Amino acid sequence: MKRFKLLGVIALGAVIVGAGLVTWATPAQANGGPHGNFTLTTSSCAGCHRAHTAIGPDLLKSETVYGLCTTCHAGVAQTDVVHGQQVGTGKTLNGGGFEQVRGGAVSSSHTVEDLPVNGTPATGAGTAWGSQDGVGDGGVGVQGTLECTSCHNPHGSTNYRILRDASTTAKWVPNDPDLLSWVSYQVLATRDDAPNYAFDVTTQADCPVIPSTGTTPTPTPGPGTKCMSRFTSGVQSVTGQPSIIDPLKGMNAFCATCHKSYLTMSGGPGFNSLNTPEATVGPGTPTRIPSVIYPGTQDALDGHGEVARYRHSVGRTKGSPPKQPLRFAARGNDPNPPGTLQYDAMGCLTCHFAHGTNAAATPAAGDTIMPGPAADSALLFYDNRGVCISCHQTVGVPATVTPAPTNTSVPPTNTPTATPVP
Amino acid sequence: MTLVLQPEGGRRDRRRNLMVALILLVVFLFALAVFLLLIQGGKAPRAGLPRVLGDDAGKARFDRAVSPVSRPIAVAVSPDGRRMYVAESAGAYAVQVFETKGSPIAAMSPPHTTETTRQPMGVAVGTDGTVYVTDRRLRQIMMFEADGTYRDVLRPAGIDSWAPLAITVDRDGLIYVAEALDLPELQRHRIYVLQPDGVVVRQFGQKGDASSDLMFPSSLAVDGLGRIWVGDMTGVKVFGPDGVFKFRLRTEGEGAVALPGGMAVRNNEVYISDSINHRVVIYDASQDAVVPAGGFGTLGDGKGQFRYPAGIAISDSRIYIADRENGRIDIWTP
Repeated sequence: MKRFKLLGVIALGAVIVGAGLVTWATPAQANGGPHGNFTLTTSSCAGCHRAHTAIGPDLLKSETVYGLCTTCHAGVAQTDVVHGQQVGTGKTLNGGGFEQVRGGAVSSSHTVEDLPVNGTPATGAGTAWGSQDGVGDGGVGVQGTLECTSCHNPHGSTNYRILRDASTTAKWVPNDPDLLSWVSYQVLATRDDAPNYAFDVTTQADCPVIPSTGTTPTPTPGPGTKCMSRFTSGVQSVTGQPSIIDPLKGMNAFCATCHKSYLTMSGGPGFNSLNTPEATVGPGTPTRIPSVIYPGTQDALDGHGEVARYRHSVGRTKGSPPKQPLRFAARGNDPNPPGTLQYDAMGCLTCHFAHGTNAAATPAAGDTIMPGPAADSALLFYDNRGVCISCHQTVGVPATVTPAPTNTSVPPTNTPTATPVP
Repeated sequence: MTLVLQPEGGRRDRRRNLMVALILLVVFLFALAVFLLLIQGGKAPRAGLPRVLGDDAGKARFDRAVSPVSRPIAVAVSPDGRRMYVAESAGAYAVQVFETKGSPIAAMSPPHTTETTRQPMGVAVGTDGTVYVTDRRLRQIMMFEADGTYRDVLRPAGIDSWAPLAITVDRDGLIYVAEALDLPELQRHRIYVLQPDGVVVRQFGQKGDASSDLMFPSSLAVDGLGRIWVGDMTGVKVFGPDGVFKFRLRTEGEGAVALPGGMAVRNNEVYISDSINHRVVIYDASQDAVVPAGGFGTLGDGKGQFRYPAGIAISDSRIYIADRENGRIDIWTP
């Protein structure tokens, strides 16, 4: 009997251990949303990845990123990036759409891999629009294959649209430690970030030290290796309050990580951005050229030689405020000196959609000077170059434009309410 | 006595030895089974595809494809099996009507809409031939006659605003609708059971991370036991006829469904298109405990291959699958 009991115990133990092993070996299940909120014991990875049976790069369960993303983001999930609208309200997405937006087919878009273009899936390969000659501060636009994940981190970030954080290994972010740090700050900055990052420095000694990534340190005035303002894309400061850095403004730096020609340093009158800080302004003591983004003659680095030319400022404005509220503007007071000048600073998204636009591009008959750009809607918000008129209003009547930026796409026939369902 | 007992003791010993051997055999077999399970769990039969029992052969045979259709997202078949309704998520954004042999008949769309103001996402056919179409932009369910003539809007009684996504009809004519609405001020991830006149029979479900919760429910089926199969972003969840959560399917291993694109029932089997594993998985749902019963399809654009399969419909003799990125309806024979 003892032997029976012993064997029984062994068998029972084997069963329990076996059952435990089977249970333990059960693959994880994808619980919850896929974009973040992960824990050490998360099982959400299985939503998009397979450790042993992936069929796409990065252990993806899908062959392309666009196909995987649009399985949900084309009408199922609330953010319909294919049609550029928020499901449920019909509002136009801030980024526009890849195939439709505001009730029309797109005329230009960021052609991510596998995006149908004229019936053919795009390869996504190319060079970000911008300088091609690769000199100066800007350099060649980033080359590579554009995917949704080029800009978004599906695993989450501190940005509300899960835009990617800077990384020394990320292929779409230039591997410049200082710039990486700054871009990271621009994208990640929140209301709680106290320091004001705008520095209208005129001497090297006033250049602040670039803060390191991963924390939120206050930049220390002093001989930093580079002046952050060279790459500044905007800042928001309110007198008497902690400085506010609007994450939206960080889009400028974010865009410029690929469209690198916009990373040029501004120059003073008569000097292009390639002038070094030690350049001499007039006779006398060498003086560092004011290194701010606005306004200035800047080297466009557009392949036409190092010719100083004006470039539209972003991030800050000078002079009278714009004649209408700007889309995705960074609003606040000029920080130097604090509170002296209100500004409403435009950014890339003031004029452009990130995903795609349906704006028309119809160059005037006989326009042969720059047929390429004129025929390209270039992700612009309004038809042709209506973005210029919409702000500057240099004509007697407002420009004829495509539907207004928000709340317009398709009037929903079924307006949502918060009325609880019985 | 001793002479008598000795043979009995020998028999007992033999019996004991036999029992020991049997127990050891059981333990050995169990350990072997565990070992095999562990081995199979980490191995795919073919590169890049999850293991599915009954892989391909024997479960269904590719018959033909109907094309072109613009990125079909949903498909339904008339009760007599003669007409096929295909919801397009590109191009005309219409519901194309075909003979199931493949000849186009008509295109259905709500009145006063264009391809940029409508977005059909789900389609189902009632027992009386009424065609129900969920529209994501209009946020309505439209009813059409079998020939494509627009009839009216179906709206749940007492509910003015909703966002229907998936739809199916059971054999009794009850209409099941999955709603996915996720606005900051209002989040509804739920299932409605409606009578054809819009009376709400039942509603259940809420957004959340628990197994019983829903996260953008986007496909539906009702099996022979009246259980409601709901596909959402996290997999497939099964509820009882009363809406009480029963269980969820695995997302890896045998019978795995990663992202369901559509579901349909044939006899006692539930067919589930797995959009991002590019195949159809079958479950035997004849008992309380459902078990994987094979599957078919691989990634590609050839015969018998899928690229992001979405909606699925079944008639007596055919399986119709909306092959989204291949722009066609694949027809298989069970």
